[in-house]
Amino acid sequence: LWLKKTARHIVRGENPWSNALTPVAAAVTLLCMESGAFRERSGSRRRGAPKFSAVFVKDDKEAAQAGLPRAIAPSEHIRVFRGRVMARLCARRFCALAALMCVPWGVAVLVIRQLLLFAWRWDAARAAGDVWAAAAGAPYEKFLLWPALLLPAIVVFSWMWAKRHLPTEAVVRALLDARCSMGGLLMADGEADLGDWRGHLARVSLPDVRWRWHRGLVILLAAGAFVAAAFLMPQRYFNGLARAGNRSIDRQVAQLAGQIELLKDEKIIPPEKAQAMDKSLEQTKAQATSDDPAKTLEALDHLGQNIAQRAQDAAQDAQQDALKEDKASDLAEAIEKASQSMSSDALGEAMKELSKMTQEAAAQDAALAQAIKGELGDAIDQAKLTPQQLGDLAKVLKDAGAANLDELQHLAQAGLVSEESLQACQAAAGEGDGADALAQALAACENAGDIAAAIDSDSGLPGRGGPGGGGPAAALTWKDASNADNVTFKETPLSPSAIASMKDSMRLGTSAGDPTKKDNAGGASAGGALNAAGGAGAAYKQALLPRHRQAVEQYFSREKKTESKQE
Amino acid sequence: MAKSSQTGGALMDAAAMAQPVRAIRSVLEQLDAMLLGRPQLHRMVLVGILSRGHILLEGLPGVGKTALIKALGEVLNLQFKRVQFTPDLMPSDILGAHILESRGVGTDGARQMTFQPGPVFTNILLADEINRASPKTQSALLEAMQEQSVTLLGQTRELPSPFFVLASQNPIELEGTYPLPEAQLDRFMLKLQVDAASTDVLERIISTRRRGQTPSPSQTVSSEQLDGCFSVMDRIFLPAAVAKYISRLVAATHPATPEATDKINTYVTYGASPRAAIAMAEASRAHALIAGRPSVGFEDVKAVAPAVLNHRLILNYKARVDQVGSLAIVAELLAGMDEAGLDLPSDMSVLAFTSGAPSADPPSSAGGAARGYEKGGNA
Repeated sequence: LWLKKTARHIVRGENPWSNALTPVAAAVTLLCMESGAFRERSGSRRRGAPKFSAVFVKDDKEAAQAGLPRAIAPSEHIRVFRGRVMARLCARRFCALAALMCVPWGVAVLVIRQLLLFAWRWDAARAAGDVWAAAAGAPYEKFLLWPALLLPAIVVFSWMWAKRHLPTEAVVRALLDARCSMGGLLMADGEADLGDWRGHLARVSLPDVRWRWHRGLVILLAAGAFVAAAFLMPQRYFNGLARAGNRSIDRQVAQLAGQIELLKDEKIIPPEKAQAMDKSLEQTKAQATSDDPAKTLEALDHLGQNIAQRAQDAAQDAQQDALKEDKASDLAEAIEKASQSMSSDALGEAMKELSKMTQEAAAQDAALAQAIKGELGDAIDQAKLTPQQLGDLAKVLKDAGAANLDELQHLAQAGLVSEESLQACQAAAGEGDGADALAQALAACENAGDIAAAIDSDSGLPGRGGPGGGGPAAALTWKDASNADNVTFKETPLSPSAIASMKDSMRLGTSAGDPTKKDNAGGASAGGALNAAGGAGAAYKQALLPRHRQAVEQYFSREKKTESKQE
Repeated sequence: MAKSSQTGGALMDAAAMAQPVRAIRSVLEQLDAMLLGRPQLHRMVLVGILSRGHILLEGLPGVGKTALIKALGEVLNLQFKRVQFTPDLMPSDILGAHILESRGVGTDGARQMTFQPGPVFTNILLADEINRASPKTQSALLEAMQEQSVTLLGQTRELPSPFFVLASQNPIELEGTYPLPEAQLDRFMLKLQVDAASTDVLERIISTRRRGQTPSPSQTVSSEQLDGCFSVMDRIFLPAAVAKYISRLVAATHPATPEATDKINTYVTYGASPRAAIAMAEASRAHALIAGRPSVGFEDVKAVAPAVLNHRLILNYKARVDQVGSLAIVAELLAGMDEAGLDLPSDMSVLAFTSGAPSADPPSSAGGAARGYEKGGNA
């Protein structure tokens, strides 16, 4: 029954704790009964008879004679009832007042945090805040919690209010009299002596007071959640600029960090340098403020340019190394193929050229230098390579070139090298079968002095044309320069530029955005200084990236403020 | 009468109440036995008698109004006179008149004006179809009802005590009638509706009553017993909260008062007079006495309030058009008013009892209501 009653309390939204003492009371009652505290008037209980029976008495005297407990006095009922009403009135008023306090408290927290965000721009304000915080012995944010000190005051006020609005004893008497159908006896008990009518007051029972607390409690919880949210809301959400700026910075910082990591992995920059760049990037991110995003963007741009410059340099080096290593690889293969048909002098000269080219490539490429150490390196230094060593050297050189191409590919994937540059390099490295042609050229050399020319002719320089591939390339000769003195050039007037037509134009207005192209407009023509793509003059308009928008808007907004002040 | 109990004294003993209560219940039993099927009406009539108030009975012809009053006179052992009010009835026909009368035989020319008392000089005056008399004649009863005296030719004569006017009027056949003026109505403590008897009651009447004659009472109440009842009436305790409730009820019958209901604001032109509050208090005391209690409870007030208030509310024309009666207005007022005046906030209410619901019957001395102690069991 107790569980059922408690469940009913919960379902109805009533206080389930009001029923908490019921099982305790029942247990105490049962213990009293078992211990004989309630004695039957008829003496010992007969076997098989009901364990308990009801005994009716007329008044307290008769009840005392029957050994029954004293009935609860009506004044006790009245006191308990008033206590219940008092508790509910107090709780109700506290919920209302606390909710009423929480709303302005939360608003004040939000406003003060926003005001502090602006106030801390000035060093004087920040210093004053620090001094005040030192004097108060707590961070200046803590004083936002001070309104919580009002809660005990609200409790006291609620108690006083409830006490003031508590029904009087006479009213409660009247209520209990009406509810218990006492016929005025309970009311008369407070005003006159009931005499022998007092026994009827035992009929008084205690009604419960119901307070529909759901609405008040929900409002209080909502108000409390609002205050908590005002305290827990991150500082950056107090400014829309900060929110937008930090988002873009996060993306850009992540991109730059990836690029730094790539440069470090490809050993384009040393780890110390990469660490310094990472640190600089973190500092930029940490010091990013919403009030001046231009500085942050400028710093990020600078760092990005450094990274891009290093990547470009590395790409050029890698491209050159790849070409050199490819050329040396071709020469090594060519020597290996043509070694039987070459004279010993020519072979020695070719070996020297190969040694020179390999050493130059190894000086630029640490991986290659590491690969040719040992016996192969000694042979290269002595310019005496066996066919086997020539094959090995060619393979090492090809691998080194491929590694450089891979590095280029990685840089291109990171956006640091354009796809066109990568494709051009790959085309140059894999172009034709250079080793066979060079082997033929080497085999054709009778003198050692022709070896260098034969090798240079395969260096990709001009002069290697003609049917059948032609012979060795002929070097350009720069001699017998013509004399330009006393030479008169025919003067030819240039066509008038489109800018000249703007002399007669008049300014009607300045557009804020890009001009829109009309479908029925004519062909391309000089459109003035801003978009002179099709005519003479320069386009002074610089394309703005989305990340520059904040700075540009701030620039124009400052101008607007200045104008408004002037107005 | 001393009302020491009203000023912090003691309630009267149950033993002191026992004899009057037995007498009252005897009267009720006799009335119930003589006139079948109207116990509630008999109780309310007795409330009026014990309160020393005048009663206006309204009902169709033949429903037993006159029989009830006659039976009441017989049971109470009081003098009873009946006046059939007609349009040509004159005040002197009720109050009495001075007539020139010779002093006696042998005296020459010695004549003097002597007063011949009218039917009003009785204990119970049945004013049958009172609304058929002219206003002049109706007004002749004003002093008798209020002051319980009659003044003629500058001489005031006391009426017998107790004095009751039990009037009847027919709600139909309003042609040729004179509605009672408000001052006259206000002097009637109760206005009771006498409805037609039910089928079962009619069957019992025609089965047990030859030609509808009411049997003679087997027991009557002596004047001493009746005086004892009146004496006990004065010692019935009226708690302050009940007095306040009565005051709030009467005040709320006036439109535009704080506790006036919508119906009152809409349909009532004038509310009840202070005399209504006095009448309600007295009637409540009588109701409590009949119940055998030494104090007045809210249930007593609720029981007598419709009879006290219904003829004192002056309704407007809108009520007549909407066919809203004063009884409905009073019922709504009683249902909507919190008798204790707890005045809790709207989201708080007093629920049922947490332990042991009390019985609906108020305590009574005559019934020997006992206090119950449950010793365990399966309650």
